[in-house]
Amino acid sequence: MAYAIDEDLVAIVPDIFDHGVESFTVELTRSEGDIQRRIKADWWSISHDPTNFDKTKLIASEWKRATIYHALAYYILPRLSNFQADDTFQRQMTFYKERYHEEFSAVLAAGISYDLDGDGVYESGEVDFIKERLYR
Amino acid sequence: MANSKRKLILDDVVAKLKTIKSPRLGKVSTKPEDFQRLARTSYPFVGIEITDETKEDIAREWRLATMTVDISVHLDGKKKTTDVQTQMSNIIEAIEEKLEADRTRDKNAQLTELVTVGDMQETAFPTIKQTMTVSIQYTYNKGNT
Repeated sequence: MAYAIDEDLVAIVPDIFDHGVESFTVELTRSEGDIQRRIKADWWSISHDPTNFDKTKLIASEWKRATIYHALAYYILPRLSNFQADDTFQRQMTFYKERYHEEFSAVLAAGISYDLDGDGVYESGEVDFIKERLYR
Repeated sequence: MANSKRKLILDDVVAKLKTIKSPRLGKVSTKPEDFQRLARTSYPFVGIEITDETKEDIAREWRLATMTVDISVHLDGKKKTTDVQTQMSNIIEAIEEKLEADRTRDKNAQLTELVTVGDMQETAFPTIKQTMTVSIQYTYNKGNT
């Protein structure tokens, strides 16, 4: 299941499809991959064997907002921007980059769910809480 | 309150142009745009504007209106290269075909007629622009424009 789809983007930026682009699925998919890579690097690899990381054991909905913010900041808005002075898309990039980092840290603090035994149930021992704020 | 005929006609023009997939169009809009703030993906940008409208009585309760609509295509760039000219002519052709497919504008008009296709121009934005002028005739009864 995808972490975020076009309709989720519209909920955050209602006019995102007013710029001649019909879908941002490619950008959202890229961001999903980037976020999974960061989860693996910043959380899983701290106390687990990196080769055992299974992204399908995460909960997609936990990472929806982080995926949207990441896609906006790193892929969608740069695609729209004409990179001229006073370009509104560049200002939005900065805004969503901050939102992305805040959201990522907030998810870790609220508890990252990982179905370690693969039984489809997220028991209390399969939710990990990380309190420090991670910024990159 | 029901939409006016002129709005329905304009909406139909926008909706039909938005269905053009090849050649690719960017943003299709009836609103004036600040070109400095347009997204790169908005090009080729198509601006639609009513430039003139005349009306005459054809019966006690009925009027005939003729709306002149400018459809301007903007390509991002400064120079009229051969590629730009080819791209522009393909877009103009696609728009013309799309408008001709239903000249009644979804049963809201009597006739849609392409009147002129202007010269390709370099603008200050900078874009390469070409404008098609379309005449659309429609009738309406008293007060319901």
